Order: sequence, then structure tokens, then C-alpha cells
Amino acid sequence: MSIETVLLVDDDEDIRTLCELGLRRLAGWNVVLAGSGQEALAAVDHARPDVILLDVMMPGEDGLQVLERLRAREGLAKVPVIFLTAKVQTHEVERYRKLGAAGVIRKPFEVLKLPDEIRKLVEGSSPGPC
Amino acid sequence: MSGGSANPDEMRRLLARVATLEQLLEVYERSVAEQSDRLITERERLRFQTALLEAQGEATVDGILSVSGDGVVLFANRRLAEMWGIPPPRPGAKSWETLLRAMAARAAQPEDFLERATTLAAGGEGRDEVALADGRTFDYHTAPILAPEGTRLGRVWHFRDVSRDKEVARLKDECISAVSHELRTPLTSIRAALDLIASGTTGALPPEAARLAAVAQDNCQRLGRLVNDVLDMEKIEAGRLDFEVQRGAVAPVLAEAVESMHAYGESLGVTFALEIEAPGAEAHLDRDRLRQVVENLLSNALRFSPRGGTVRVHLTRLEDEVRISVADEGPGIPHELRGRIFDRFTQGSAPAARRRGGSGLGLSIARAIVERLGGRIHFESEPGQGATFHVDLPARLEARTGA
Repeated sequence: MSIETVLLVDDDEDIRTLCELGLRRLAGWNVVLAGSGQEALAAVDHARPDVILLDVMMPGEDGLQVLERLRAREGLAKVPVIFLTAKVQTHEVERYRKLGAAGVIRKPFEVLKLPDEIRKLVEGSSPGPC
Repeated sequence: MSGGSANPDEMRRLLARVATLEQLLEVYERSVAEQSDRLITERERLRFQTALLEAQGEATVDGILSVSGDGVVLFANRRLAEMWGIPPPRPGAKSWETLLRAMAARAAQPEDFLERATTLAAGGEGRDEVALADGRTFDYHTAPILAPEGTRLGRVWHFRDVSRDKEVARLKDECISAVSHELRTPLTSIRAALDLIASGTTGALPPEAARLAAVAQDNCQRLGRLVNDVLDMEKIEAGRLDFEVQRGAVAPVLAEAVESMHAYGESLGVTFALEIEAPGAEAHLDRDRLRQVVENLLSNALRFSPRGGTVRVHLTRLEDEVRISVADEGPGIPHELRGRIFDRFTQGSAPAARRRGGSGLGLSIARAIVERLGGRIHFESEPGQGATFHVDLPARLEARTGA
């Protein structure tokens, strides 16, 4: 599948700025930003993303809770969700997958490699974290 | 003598005898006086020695206890009873057993302390640490009292309250950890921003700006490595580094490590040679951690390699182990560093090594990880002939000593 729009959920404003610029410039994707689970839920219907990048450690609802709420939304059950996290031990990655995540991108990530990592995970060609 | 008239010869003999006796008496008197003086001096000396020992035993923050071979208290300073919170031991009383039990009652793990102290009491010099139930920690040291001919007369115990030192060390580690964590987040953003600028993603850079961006990128990466190493070292020391040990093939881990260090090697003009003699070799390993070990060894080898040099990575099978070797063509490890090459912040003084900036923690981290995996890390090196580091990992679970 081809990606046109990405929804990025992260409480760190710098990360949002850098990823938005990187993904737009490097891959030509349209990037919709959310600073919390709340904002993500508010933006998702209008944004209709092809993939969702979700920070795990956020104040308030964490990424895992946000994933559950997104999955409950009509039309969002099949949108691939990728977690952004520093916690990438094998048992943690297994847990993310059981929750229905398409994969995990390890923080801190290299912004220049980000589009390729996202493509790989969306196509399901990468079995583990990068 | 006979009659009233004295025989002159007899008289002379008698006078001579008297003179001899007088001389003898004088000698005896002198000798008695000297002996007496000596005894007085000796008594004074003993009193002085006793006072000196007593003063030396009291003028310290440590608790000191000396016990004879049959358990009689020879000396105990005031601090001993005070720090342990026990009644002051009476010199001359055969109370070692009672004392030991009273001290054990204050320990967080009384049985452990009793066992440890009893073992130490049977040996030569020794030391250990004991945690008290009230949260304090004592460091203690013991040594036998030996007569000049080597007979054991008893044993001295020194106890030192190291609670404050421990607390300071813990705060220091916590502070380092917190600062490093706080550094990591901004570093990540700086690095991403620099990568986007330097790659031309945001528009082509003038050549000079590109050179500056490359310098900033290099240093940003270096700072990132240092922060990660400091955090890892801190986790290792606190026993908080998580491991996921599974049986797995070693060769792919080596290939990944070489791949990830490839660009760094290229920038230094050094190439890698991957020599897999045992492609199917398996060991009990944590893939990520083993890769970190190999990357640290590669990074080390690169920094000491001459431009145009080769770093060889070799995998072979030993009897019950798998051996990973990393060999460089650098200057070798100087003799004076050999004993502490795995200690923190021990770095070769070669200007090249300093210029290329290691954190000084890579080998310490590598050793800590390898030991957690039940393996062994060691090296061979001849000055001027490079250095080879070996990591031997147990191939079978039974051979493992660690967790």
C-alpha cells in the first residue's frame, strides 16, 4: 500500500517538528501532528491516516491505551500503528504486537532512516524492531 | 690464725683476701643497682607502651577489638561498644562468643554475619561488609596477631561505619544517571536536526556550512555514545541492566556489529575482515548485548588502528566454548596498562586514541556483559604488534556460571 498521510502522536514538540519536516521532505508524506492521545482521537477522523506513529511514554494516557481507543473507532481497526519507544526488549515488543501494533521503531531513531523503517513495517517485511 | 703473734705471711694473705672480697662486694653492689635501674626503666617502658597502645586504640573513628586465641578480650576501644550499641567489653573476660552474638543481633542478616565472621576468624587477613538492621553499613577488617616466630596469639578486628560514604556514592551515581537522562532527550533532537540540515533535506548547504555541519554531527554522535555508555555502566553497577538470554547463533551477531560499525571504520580508513570459521556456532547469549560487546571491541580496535589497517573479526569453536576474537594492527597494549585495561576510564596514551575519542567505558561494559553471560574476556598483545581481544562464551548451558 502507498502512504500519503501519517498521524504522529508524541508529547515532545521537538520530535513532532523534526519528524514532520523529515517525513514531508524525505518521503513527501502529509504529516498530521498530535501532542496527546486526546488530540490524536480528535484529529484522526478528519486526517484519515494511512499509518499512525504512536509514542509509548506520554503523560496522561500512554500509547498502549491510546491504541486501544483508536482500534475501537470505526474504520481505524486496520490502520497500521507503529510504536515509538526506547523500550524494545523482546518481551516488550511481543506485548506491542499482541496489542495489534504493526511494529516498533526504537527511540532515539535516525530521522533520515525513518521513512524506510516506516515503509518496511507497514509492508510487514520486517519481523522485529529496527 | 693461732696465738697472739701474727705470722706476717698469713697477715698479708688475709689482707689480700679482704681486698678481693671488698672488690667483689663492690661489683655485686654495682650489679644490683644496675639491675634495679633496668627494672625501673623496663617498668616505665611497659607503662609507656600500655599508654601508647591505649591512646592509639582510642584516637580513631573505627571500633577496634583484639581477642586472644582462646576468646579472651585483650583490648576494646570505647568506639566499638558505641557504634555497635553493645555493653563495653571488659578486657580479660572470655567473652568473644557473647560479643559476636551481640554484634550479630544488630545485623540485618544475623546468621550471614555470624557465618562470615567465623570464617574470617579462621583465616588470615580478611575483610567484608555488614549491613545493620538500622540501615547503617560497617566495613570490617581482621588480621591475626602473630608472635615473632609466627605463632598465632589472637586476632584484631576493625569496624568502620561507611554509611555516609555509601550514601554519597549512591547520590553521585543517581546524579550522573539523572544528568545523562536529561542530556539524552535534547541530544536526540539536536542530532535529528543536524542530520536533516547536513543531508541537504532542507536545502543544499554552502560547502563551508556543510563542513561545519559534519563537525557538529560527529561530535553529537560522540556525545551520544558517551551518554549511553555512562548510563549503561550505571545500570550495570546497580544490577539493573536487563538480559534476555537465549540460545542463538553467534555469526549473525558479528555480521550485524561489523555492518553497524562499517561507516565509522570507513571514516578512519580502516577495513574489517570477518572470518567465520564456525558458521553454525551457537551460544547462550542476549543478541543486543552481545552485539554491544562486539561493537565496543570493534570501536576500540578502530581507534587504535593505523589508516589503511584491517580489523579482523574471527569466530571459532573451542572445546566447550565459542570464541570471538577482534584483532587490530595498532600499537598494542602498553605493559603498564595491562592489569587495568578493563577498568573504567583506562585509556591508552597514544595521541591517536585520545583524538578519536572513546568514552573510556567500552571495555568495562564489555567485560561486565560477557561475565553476565557466563563468559570470559581477555587479550593478547605484544607492543608494536597490535592487540587481540577474545570473548569466550559457553556453548552449553551446564558450563555457564552466571545467571
